[in-house]
Amino acid sequence: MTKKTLKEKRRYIRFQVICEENFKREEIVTDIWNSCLEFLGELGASRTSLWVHEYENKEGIVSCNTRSVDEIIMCLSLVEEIGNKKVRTKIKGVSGTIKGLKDKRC
Amino acid sequence: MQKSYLAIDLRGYPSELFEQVCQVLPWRDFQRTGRGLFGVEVEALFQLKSLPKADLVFAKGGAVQKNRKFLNSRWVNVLSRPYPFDSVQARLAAEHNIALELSFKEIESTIGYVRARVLTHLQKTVTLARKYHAPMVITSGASAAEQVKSPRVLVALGKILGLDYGEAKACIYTFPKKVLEGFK
Repeated sequence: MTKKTLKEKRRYIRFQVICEENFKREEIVTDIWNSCLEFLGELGASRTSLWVHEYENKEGIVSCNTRSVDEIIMCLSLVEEIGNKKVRTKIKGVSGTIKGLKDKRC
Repeated sequence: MQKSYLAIDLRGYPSELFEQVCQVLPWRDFQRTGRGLFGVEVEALFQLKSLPKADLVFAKGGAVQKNRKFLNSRWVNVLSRPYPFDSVQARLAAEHNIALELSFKEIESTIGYVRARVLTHLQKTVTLARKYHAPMVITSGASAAEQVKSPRVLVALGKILGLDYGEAKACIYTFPKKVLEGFK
């Protein structure tokens, strides 16, 4: 049976950066991608469909396809430095919609 | 999200995310400070002869001969870093109910080539442990509050290493509970 649609399903992951400093979205995006490239390699990172959606008040949302949720959770947990500052990241939730993430009490 | 997982961290730092957490201290500096579970980590075989009063005994693996002697010991509960790991060791671990430790800290603290080698060893350990039904435990290895990882991250590590979702969840709750109860 052929699939009705080839559009891939996405999962949204909400994370929190634990650090006293405030970072810009661009800095976060660079370091998440660097962590991904380091851990998964170029080919592996290309297969995740990673996208950083928003980042404000030390919380952000990234999305990826359903096959690579665990890889992206690992990559986010392995982010140790942002802009030469030591940070820790905490995964707050995984959902199929952004609205679902925002409604979730984490 | 975190509260939906029942989890026990056998090498971690006390946190509300986990039902029980065991703090592991090296044999030389072992001293109970406060309540909770405490484990002792031995590095050499002679240290097994004079063990302090601890809830769990962790053995730090190394060479093949040393690993096999640890796996034949009745005092050891968990074998950590058993590289190089082979089928004989996996069979012994299954036979004597000694859990094999997969630690997040080993991946976190390394980089590049060394991280790739550690991942290869961990994947090989998982493959052999699955074949011979040896128990495995996934731990965070945290020694401070900011290093604590949520149970979902530990499940993700298990899935990265080749376990399926149910097995990964068993490695953070069922097997650690059995280890604490002594496989009764």
